[in-house]
Amino acid sequence: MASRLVSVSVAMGVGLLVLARYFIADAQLDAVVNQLLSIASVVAAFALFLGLANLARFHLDRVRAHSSQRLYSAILLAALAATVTLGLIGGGPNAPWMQLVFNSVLFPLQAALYALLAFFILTATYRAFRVRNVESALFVIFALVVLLGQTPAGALLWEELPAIKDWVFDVPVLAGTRGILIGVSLGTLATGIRVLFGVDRPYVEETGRDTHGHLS
Amino acid sequence: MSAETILAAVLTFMIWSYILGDNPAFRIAEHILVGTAAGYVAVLAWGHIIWPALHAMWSQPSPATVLPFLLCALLAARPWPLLRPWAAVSLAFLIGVGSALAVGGALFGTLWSQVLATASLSLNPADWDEAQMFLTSNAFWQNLAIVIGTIGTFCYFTFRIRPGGPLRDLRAAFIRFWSGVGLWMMMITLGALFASAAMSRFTLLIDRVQWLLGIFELR
Repeated sequence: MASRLVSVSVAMGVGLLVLARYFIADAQLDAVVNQLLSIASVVAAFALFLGLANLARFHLDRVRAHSSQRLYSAILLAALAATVTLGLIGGGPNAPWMQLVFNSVLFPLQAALYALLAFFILTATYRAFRVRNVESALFVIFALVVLLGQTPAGALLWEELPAIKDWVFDVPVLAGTRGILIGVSLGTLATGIRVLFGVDRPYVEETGRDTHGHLS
Repeated sequence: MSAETILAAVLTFMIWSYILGDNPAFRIAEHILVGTAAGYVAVLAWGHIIWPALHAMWSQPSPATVLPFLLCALLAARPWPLLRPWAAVSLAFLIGVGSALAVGGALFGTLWSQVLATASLSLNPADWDEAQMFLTSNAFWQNLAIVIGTIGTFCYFTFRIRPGGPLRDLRAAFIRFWSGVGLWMMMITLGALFASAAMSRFTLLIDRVQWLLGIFELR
């Protein structure tokens, strides 16, 4: 019970203090909030390590259990261990070995995976470009205008197309995105204020929830 | 050709082998990506956040430098049932700070700036540089379309609210009209964004193919 009271007080107190900086210009308050933010960054980084420990434990269990996926789990663990060892022994994130890992492994893998989506987006385009009603017709027309307007072929077809594409982004897309952003920010405000005033307490385990002490 | 380049090319082909369907080469590359990315993030977090904080705690022990690690210890104590309720204090700290940053960011970074930008759009001909009547002016129609589109898209998110009270039919008709406008505007927006997303993937695909052709000297 005491821990719950302390948790709610910490969340409300710290949250309102950080929020106060947006409204009150005060050097002392700034210093306190900066300190709180640096503490939060350390705790968040530590939480990331707990997540990594959980990932490693999950794959170690799969290797130990002789699962059919154990080869892949072993490869993941080897890649994780090699990167961490190179980073810690090699001299940190800016060391030449880490640059090598980034340029030769991480970047090509991420770029290839992202580029692979081009093939799947083709099939998605085929499905999305079926006109069934006015709304889907609008979707198809404006998607085609933007697709053609961004390519040299579009300008060859009709020289006004790039200018129309710019207008689409400057007027209807701006209005649509603005409406969506206003809706999302109001939702964020409502959720955040509920947490700050203790109405929602996602950090406290309510009665009836699972209380097993597993990391996962 | 260096060993690093060969490694990068082999990994690229392993990922692209997924075009032929799920296969061991793709799954190996996928697991290498997850392991390396997790390790890279761990090294970044250690080098940029944890290690400097540990160094500060050792060199200048004070409540401000010790408190982060006390909260970390509470978080790590979560598996033990006796200490589990106290681990919530660390989570409460993180969620409190995160919520305040989200509220401040949403209020001043998004809501205020977007509403202000929409409200500052002028429909008055005196504010434009063009020497035209307002009905024949591009600025008038563009600003009007932006205002109507923004209000419509925003109303689209509230059209599920069931109106009550004496003016419920009027309110329902009002919301239905604006949400209809908003739906059209959203379809236009999503169409344009979908096309942009598709183009970015195709651009990256072309870049990777050109890189591969370059390293094999086929270009």
